[in-house]
Amino acid sequence: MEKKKRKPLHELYESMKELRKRPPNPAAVDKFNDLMRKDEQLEKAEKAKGDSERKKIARDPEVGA
Amino acid sequence: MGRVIPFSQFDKYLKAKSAEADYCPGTILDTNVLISLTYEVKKDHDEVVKFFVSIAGHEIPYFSTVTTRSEYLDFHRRLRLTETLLDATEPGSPWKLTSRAHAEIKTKQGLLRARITRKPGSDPVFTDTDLKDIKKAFSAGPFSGHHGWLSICDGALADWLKDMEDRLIDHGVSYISQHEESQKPLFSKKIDWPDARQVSERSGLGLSDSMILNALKCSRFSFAISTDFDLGYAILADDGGTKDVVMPDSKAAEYRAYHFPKA
Repeated sequence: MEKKKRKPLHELYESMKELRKRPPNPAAVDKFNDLMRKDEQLEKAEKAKGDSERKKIARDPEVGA
Repeated sequence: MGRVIPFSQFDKYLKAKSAEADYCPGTILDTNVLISLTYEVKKDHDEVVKFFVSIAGHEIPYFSTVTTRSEYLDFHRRLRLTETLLDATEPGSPWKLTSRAHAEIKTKQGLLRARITRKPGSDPVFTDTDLKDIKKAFSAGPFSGHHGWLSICDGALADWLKDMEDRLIDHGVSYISQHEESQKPLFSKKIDWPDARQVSERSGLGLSDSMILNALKCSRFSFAISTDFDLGYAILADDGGTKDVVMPDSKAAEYRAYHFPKA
């Protein structure tokens, strides 16, 4: 089999420059954004639950008496 | 003792070396020379690129040790993560960061700038300690848990390190190995750990560099190519050593003050 001809080493710089410009994998970005959205929804739900608990406690005449 | 050969005298040096009966074509590249070649921020970058352009016609076989390759990939791993994370804080970035992660990256960016101001010439690249702190800011979300940081790594690094390694091979840098049958003629001695340790004991050279220098000493190659002052120092300090190192002229000039005897 014919041996693949090597590229000159100084051209590695241009090759690396091109590689560094590669954008992040879109599927990974979507997955990340989805995870963060779910975190945010859960935090909001927890906060809302906390608020309603606090309101419930505030309405309880036994508490703080 | 070995010698430090400035880039500007390499042609003359190679001509003389290749006329010797036991000359073995090939060289070991040090990590820093590969990083300087591929990262324009390094102060030796232009000198190194120019050098490799000038010697392209010689078609010298280039080799890297496992240490060199892992250090090179490791630097580019940190660079890739740094660039991805900093880009992620820019307006219009596709990444939707939490305010905690955004704030942590910005804090580390501020510290990075301060480091560069304190020590001009430092790489604008996060350290592993910076990255560990940033990783924490991406972790332990109520739903995402540890998956947030893993998605960042998937987006930035998946297949990327492999592509980097493939490009190194495409550009003629082979991995040197005594286990490779076809490479047996390249060695005159078995590479052994106690010898690498002794190299370090002799001049205080870091153990990673000592392993690279030891690989050179066990090979039949005449020289390594490096931009590392300490590697040149260790070669000059090696009484009875026969291996040389080829370095940028600016670096080679630094040894004058150390009064090593002329080889």
